[in-house]
Amino acid sequence: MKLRPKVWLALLLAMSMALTACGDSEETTTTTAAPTETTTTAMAEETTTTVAGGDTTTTTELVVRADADLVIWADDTRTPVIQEFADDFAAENNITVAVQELSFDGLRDRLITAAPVGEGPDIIIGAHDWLGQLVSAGVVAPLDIGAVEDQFAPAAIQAFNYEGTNYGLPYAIENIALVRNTDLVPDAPATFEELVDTALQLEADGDVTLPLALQENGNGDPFHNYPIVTAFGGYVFGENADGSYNPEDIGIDSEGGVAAAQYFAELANDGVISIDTLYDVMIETFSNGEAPFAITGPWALGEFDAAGVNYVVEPIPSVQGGEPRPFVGVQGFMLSAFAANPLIASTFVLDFMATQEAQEALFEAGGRPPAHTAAFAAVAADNPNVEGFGAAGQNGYPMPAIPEMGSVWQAWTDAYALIFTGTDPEQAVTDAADQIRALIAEG
Amino acid sequence: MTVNPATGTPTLAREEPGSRAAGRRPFGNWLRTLGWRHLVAWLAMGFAFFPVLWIISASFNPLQTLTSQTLIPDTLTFENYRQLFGGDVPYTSWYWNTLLIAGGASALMTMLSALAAYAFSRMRFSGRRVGLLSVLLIQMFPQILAFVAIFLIMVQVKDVFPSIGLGTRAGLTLVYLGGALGVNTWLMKGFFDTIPRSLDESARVDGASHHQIFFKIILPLTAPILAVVFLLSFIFLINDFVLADAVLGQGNPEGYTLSVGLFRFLNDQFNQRWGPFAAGSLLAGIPVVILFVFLQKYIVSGLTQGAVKG
Amino acid sequence: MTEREARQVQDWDAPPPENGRGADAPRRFSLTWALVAKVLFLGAVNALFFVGLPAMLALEWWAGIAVLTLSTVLFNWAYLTKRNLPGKYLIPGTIFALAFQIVPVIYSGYISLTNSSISHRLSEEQALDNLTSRTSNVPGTTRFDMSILSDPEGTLAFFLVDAGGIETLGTAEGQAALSPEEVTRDEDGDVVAVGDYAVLGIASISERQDEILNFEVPVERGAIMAVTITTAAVYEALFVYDEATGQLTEVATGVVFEPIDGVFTAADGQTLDPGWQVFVGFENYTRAFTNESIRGPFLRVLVWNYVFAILSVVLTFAVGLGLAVTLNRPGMRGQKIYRAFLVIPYALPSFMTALIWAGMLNQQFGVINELLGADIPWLRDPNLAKVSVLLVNLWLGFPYMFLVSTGALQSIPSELKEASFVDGATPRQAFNAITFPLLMVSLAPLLIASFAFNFNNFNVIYLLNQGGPPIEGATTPAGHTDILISYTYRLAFESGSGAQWGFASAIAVLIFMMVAAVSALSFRRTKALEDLA
Repeated sequence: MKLRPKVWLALLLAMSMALTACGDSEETTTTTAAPTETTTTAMAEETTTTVAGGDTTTTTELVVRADADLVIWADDTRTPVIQEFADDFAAENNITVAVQELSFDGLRDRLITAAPVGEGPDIIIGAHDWLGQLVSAGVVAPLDIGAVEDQFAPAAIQAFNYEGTNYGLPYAIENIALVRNTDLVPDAPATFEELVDTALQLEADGDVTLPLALQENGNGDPFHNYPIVTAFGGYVFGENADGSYNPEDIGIDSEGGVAAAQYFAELANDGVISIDTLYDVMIETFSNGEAPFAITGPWALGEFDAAGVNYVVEPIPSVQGGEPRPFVGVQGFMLSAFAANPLIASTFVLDFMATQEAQEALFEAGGRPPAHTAAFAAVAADNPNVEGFGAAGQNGYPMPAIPEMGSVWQAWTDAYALIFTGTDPEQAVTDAADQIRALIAEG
Repeated sequence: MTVNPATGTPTLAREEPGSRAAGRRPFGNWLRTLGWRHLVAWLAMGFAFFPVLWIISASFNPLQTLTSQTLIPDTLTFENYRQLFGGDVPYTSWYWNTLLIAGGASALMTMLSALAAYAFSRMRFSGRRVGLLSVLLIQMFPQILAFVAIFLIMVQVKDVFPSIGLGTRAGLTLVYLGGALGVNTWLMKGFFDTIPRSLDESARVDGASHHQIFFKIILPLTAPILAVVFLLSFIFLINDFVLADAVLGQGNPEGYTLSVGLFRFLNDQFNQRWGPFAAGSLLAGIPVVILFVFLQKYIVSGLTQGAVKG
Repeated sequence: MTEREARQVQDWDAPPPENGRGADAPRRFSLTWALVAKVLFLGAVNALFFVGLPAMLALEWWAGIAVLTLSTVLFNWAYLTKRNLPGKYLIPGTIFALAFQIVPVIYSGYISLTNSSISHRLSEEQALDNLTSRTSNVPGTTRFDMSILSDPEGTLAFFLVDAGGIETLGTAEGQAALSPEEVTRDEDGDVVAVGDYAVLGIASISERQDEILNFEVPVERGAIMAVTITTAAVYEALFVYDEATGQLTEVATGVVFEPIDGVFTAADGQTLDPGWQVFVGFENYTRAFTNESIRGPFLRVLVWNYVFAILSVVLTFAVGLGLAVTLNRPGMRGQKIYRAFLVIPYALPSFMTALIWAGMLNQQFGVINELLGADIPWLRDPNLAKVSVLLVNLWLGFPYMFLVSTGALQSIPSELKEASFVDGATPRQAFNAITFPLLMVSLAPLLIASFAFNFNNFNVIYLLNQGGPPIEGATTPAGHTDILISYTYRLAFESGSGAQWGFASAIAVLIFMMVAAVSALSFRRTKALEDLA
């Protein structure tokens, strides 16, 4: 009891001390809420040094939505080159630009969570098949690219058009193609059957261990198998008159889909392909010359080059007379619907990134064929690989952007895993299609 | 008393019932008392270390492969390590952040947990059983939405207290402290329960207050379990991805922890850079092993026994 | 002396003795030190409260206000009163658990009662804003080069140059022709002013972006609006919102949309994304129980889930405890090195090691088959896949059990063991009769927690084999090693239109109830164990 008054006195004293100490943090609160001249200048100075020094990051205190006029989210293959253009843009307009690096998939999910609470970026770089989710989540803003669209491949422009509205500026088109080891197989096979025969012969001769390095990820990989499906007339979603996908029409168990599954089972049974071909197995076997053929995309070429293997990129030859048509993905710039600086953002995208120079620089960084027609021509002229991927994707189908595609992957993947372990192919694709229909009906 | 703590060698061999035969069958006896233990230990080490060999191999392999690699790559390279320290990624600052956050948060978590365990072990109050049960159950909730929930909370905290909100190391530390009361509290309570109450009581007789008993008697006596809990928390925090990504994942790359940074680095859209990832993971494991080696003498010391005798 | 005796019999429940009286000198010193620390700490807590509260009130962040207020009250109550001794020790940890464990759980519970999903993530205001700001380029209209202007009062205007080079002034009233003398240019020929209007610099543009973006120059059809800071084009709105009726009308078709269940819906059922998050009661729970596709392989998944969780605990504990006991022998050489090696699996990121195992178990290229010279489908065969998952989980989990067992072994007084040896017990008998029961006092709750952890061990299932191999002929995609959480995760995040947080949360709540019930029952049995101590 005696201590009580003392406790209170000391408490009051401490509180007033703490309050004065916290006075600083209170000030910080207000300045953060409404940035004052001092903070902006400080930021500007820091970024100026980064521009001058060419160093990407000098800020020591962490910021969440980077405290810059323009914030761009990109994955790590694109961050460095975007940074260069961002620095130029920042210098020219006397503003600050921050490029933040996120993992490719994480970027989409985080945009959906962060943008509506004001922690998102102004611009993201991502794939066109995200649009279904991003548009229904209301986190991307329409972008009028009418002024530049005639400079881009029509397929790339079409890919960023979702339900009649454009949502992005394309920069790269990517699809898979056949990669052939020219030391093991000097001449391009005319048909897929010839490819299989050549590969099996090489295996029989003991020259290779894996006839065809077709990535199956251990559980089946519909993305990489799709050219075989389309060669038989199979499809994932039917197309409406306007070229958009119809989620009511699942073609995995169509006549062509079943025929493709049966052919696929033959390939598996003959040991042409293996379910155990993970990404790294594909890289290693092709790089070591243990696989004469690989079916993969531009992202793998860096590894092949590093290993010093001689190869060419060409379209997959016709399968049983049908043309294999891969999925085509388009990468591009999209604007956040919750951008803090929407006008600056659209200016950066349309005035800075839609140029041939920028599109060529992005190719140098990521190795993906440019969507800009003139840039593609310039790059393809001295890079036959780009030409090869371009030819392979010529008649490809755009990756479906509709949200229903989310219901497809697992069931479809399972169907391939079951075919590999001996389930009747027709049964496997029929079950998968039924599962998909049920999931879509579920909503 | 039986083991010299400095060297770990016996100063006075402890006799077991069977050791009477020691003179006649030295090897058989050794096998029966110690030998089989070494055998089991070697087998267990083999099991524990075998996959690690492959991680080591991947870290020196110029090809970014994991599945089909051989134990000794055809060509060895330090390129994967160079990538970590060559300025491509701020690996050293990830390392520092992780040590700082995991070390600080683990120490605080151990403290908070010990405080609660003391109350649960030594005091009888209404709601004690319910409290104990809640501590155990709360961490069983499936963390499907943990990312979203923590992210949204920290966004709000940032608006009120910027220095402990989203994107700050202090903020992540606070989030981790949320898990201080949990199964570790139980582990400690169980240990505290084995310290005889007569010790507390005699201290009280000598006029010690409850906090003096806690700090001066209980804590020193329970050093082994404090060390274990600190180590467990440290390992857990070093490996945490979801919470670290929610709080720090959107800021400047220099602010990431190891798990966030390495995962970002690995997870390109199609490419998988296993080499640098393997190298980075191996180096990330080193502090844990060093910490364990350092804490081992506390974990397995004879402190308790001595105390019980005292 | 009598006072001391009184204290001795005092239970901890009773208030501790009055501190001020009859205390000896060292005690008073330590009291003062503790008092200063206490006062400083409480001062900081209260200061935080008074600083934070106004900001939180301004943000209307009610959950934050509740946690902050509760924390402040609890701290003051615990440390300013003489009663409530347990509280002094329990409250610090509890506050953090409240803020970062309980609040997220409550949040999940709340989300489970809403329609939260990809297309129902925004607030109603945000969704409406999204729809009403949608425009389309009016076909056949020109694009303009533009300079953004402002008069001294801050009224905006656009200086427009069309494709034919004709210059006009766009104001909120409309497009007006310009005579050349109205336009002031610098030596480079760039426009600097038009009449009273001066060209805005980038800083002002940046500051006034929203205003500029919403600025419309009405023309015959639609309005001229900014595209970038130097270009403009003609747009018309796609939707018109009527505040009085709450209806949204599509301009091109005249179709009227009503807000129903968090989404604008037309009479024919057509909906407009994005919708917004609304309360739906127990709809998600009803769906979880009545859903055909969940019921399909549900029983199978549930049985395996229990088998997996129980066997994981049993195996890791058996191996971990066995090793701890084996190495817990004084005088054994190399103990320290053995122990350090055994901790390594736990020290490496499990993300890395689970994938390493997947690679090692690969049928055609993996090292295990290579070493065995066999062709065993470790991950493809339904039964072997289950064995593989358990094996990998054993590898990942035994170091934990080894560590806690080693720690707990130290608490067993050696006198007890020695006493049993004197009684002629074999080491095994001594272990069964003395060591093991005592160990279980502290370890039983850990085993329960480990069960709960493994029951929801999504990572190991997913990283090793994505739940595969698939179950043939299932109505919903499911794998032989899928556990409830990995199976339902796919349903909630990969079905239909993408992530469905409301449904996912409802499932999380249901799984939690299942695990919690089992754990609470097991916990009751530990009460008997606890009384042993």
